[in-house]
Amino acid sequence: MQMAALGFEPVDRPRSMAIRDDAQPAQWLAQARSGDRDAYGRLVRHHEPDVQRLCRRLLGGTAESDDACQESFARAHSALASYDPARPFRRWLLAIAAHCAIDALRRRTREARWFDGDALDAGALADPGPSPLQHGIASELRRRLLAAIEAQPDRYRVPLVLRYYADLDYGEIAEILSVSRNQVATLLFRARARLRETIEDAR
Amino acid sequence: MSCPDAMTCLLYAEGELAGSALRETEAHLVSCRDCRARVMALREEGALLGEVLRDELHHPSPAAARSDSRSVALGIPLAVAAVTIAFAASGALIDMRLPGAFDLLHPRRVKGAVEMSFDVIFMLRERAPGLVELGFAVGLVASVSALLSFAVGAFSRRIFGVAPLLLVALIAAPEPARAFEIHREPVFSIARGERVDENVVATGERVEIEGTLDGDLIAAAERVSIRGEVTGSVYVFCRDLDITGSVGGAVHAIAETSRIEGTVRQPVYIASEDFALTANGRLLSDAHLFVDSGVIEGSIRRDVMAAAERLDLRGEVGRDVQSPWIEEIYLRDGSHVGGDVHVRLEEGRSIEQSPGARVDGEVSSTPRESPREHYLEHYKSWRFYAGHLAWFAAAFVFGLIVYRIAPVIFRGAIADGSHLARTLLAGFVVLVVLPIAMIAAALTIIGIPTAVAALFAYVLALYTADLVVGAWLGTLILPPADDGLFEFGKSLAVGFAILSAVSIVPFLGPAAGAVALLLGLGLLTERARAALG
Repeated sequence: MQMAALGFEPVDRPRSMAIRDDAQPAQWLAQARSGDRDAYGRLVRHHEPDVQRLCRRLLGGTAESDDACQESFARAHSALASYDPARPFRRWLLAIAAHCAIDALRRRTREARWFDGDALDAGALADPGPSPLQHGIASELRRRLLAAIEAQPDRYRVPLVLRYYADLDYGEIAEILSVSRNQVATLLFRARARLRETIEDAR
Repeated sequence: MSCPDAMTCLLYAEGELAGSALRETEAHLVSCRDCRARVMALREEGALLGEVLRDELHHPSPAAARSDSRSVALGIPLAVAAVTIAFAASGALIDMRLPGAFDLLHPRRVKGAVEMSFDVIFMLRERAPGLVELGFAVGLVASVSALLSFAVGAFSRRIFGVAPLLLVALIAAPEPARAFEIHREPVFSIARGERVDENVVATGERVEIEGTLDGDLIAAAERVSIRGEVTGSVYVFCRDLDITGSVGGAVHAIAETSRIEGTVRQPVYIASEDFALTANGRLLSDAHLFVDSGVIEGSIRRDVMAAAERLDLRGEVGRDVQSPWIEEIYLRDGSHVGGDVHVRLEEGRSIEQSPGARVDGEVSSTPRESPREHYLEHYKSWRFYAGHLAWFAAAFVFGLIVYRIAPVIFRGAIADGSHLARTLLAGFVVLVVLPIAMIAAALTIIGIPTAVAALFAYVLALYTADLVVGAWLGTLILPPADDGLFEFGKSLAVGFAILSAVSIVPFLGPAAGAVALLLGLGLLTERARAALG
């Protein structure tokens, strides 16, 4: 079958949904990089909802998340010179925002190394949990799934948000959380298994 | 190689494998169906997580989540309502701007559809020869629906006489198509003096019978002419039909123009734009005509039943002339009707009878009520409400049974606006494509059992579609507390009651019903896809 054959290509998850790569933001970006403050302002307004949502997803709807959002744009502005235009701007910006939000989280929990602790070795991963969640589930279940994600402890919730909301790859997440790529994989693996179990129990 | 572990599958699905691990996994996936399915499922789950996280409801507090869910609950039905109103309004607008244009959609006036399917088929033949089969199928669907609605609309008095015949024609037509060879040459002909002793199924440019065909003729062609003899019945779908010879059985025809100059022994059923029975033409039984313009110069031994724009009678009719719907009717000099003439005309019109026209029985015409007055009439009858109530109860019980057997059918839901549009589109595709596929299957590929099974599934889907929409509406308004039958029944009752109530609102109801049908079929398709893949 052709459909199955398509599945063999080592494609990334489609990111098109997340990127709003219309011509205007690209133009603003170019202008901002050459020092145009107005253009940067427009760029900020364009991406603000995405960044805001990421911060809220990571920090909850608190003043901290607004601060983190502000800080992200400040940091991004000063790092603009080092931005590689080959990379999607949204992902680059969200990675910076993730850094800011994670810093705030760390300050909140006062636990510098909260991703260590119990062993994150792959040996404990024999059971993948119930079968993966179906795409076309009802809106009620979607709400439950979102609630389940939000109820996860930070160590599972944060990688989930970075991977599936911000579309960062494992390497980028590892860098932001200061853990290894394998540990990111383990965290995501466990997080997804936990979600499946929660949803399965709720049915 | 044994199956990769769950972690490797996840890494592969996420595009995080590289080097030899990637190559090995890929090589394994080529041969392992289970792992392929697992990878697809993992990708789907990843996409779902992304969608859920991108959803607008991002406040962690349960109160906020509830208000968000309410806005979803209100927003989508509002969108559905908007689509429905747009549907109804555009119909009314077209009707207002172009009086009569909407008539084309009226069951009694399907000639527009027939004409259109002609154009499609012959355009396909010219532009894309490979699609002729498809055109054939489209034509058959149009002809079947035209004949059925003809029967229902025009001859309600005689429906029990005509419907079984049509049904037999419908069921019988694919049978010979499967059992006998289909002639596909551009010109199929039986030459003068030649004799063929079997049923013939032919599709092509022209079908010409000059000799003798001892059997039935089933044909879809641009032009069908019978100058010789067909001893059996004739079922044709064509642009021009010309019968100068004789037909021993009945004639069932859908054609743009049809002309009978010869003899037909059994009843004639013709849906055609122009129909002519010339002076030499003789029909030895009834004539059922569904025509734009009909001219009868020859003789018809028994009754004429016609739904026509214009009927011109110059010849002889042995018994009655009846018409439940006609615009103009002329009885010319020299014409003779052995029985009564009874027609229903638009108010203010009358039968144009020339002095030289003879009618042995009565000539009477009753005015036809305007469709609008007629439309509102059934709201005054208790039967209408009782019927709806009975339908509601039966469908509700059916819904509970289906839920008991396969609850998964009712898990579909509309997530957002674009999902709504996609679902409507999927519903439309199913509604239109499935019957075509069924007929194509019956004619050519796998045969009748498949088509019958598909027909059964189709009818079932049509019936279930409303229930699915009702259940979805119910879950939005009254979310079930658990998965039990009672809780489901409560929300189904609420949603379905709303749907049923909306569907009997005058003018808006039919449009709402159509939207609900499309939506339900779309949701069912989605569930079926989820179940299969």
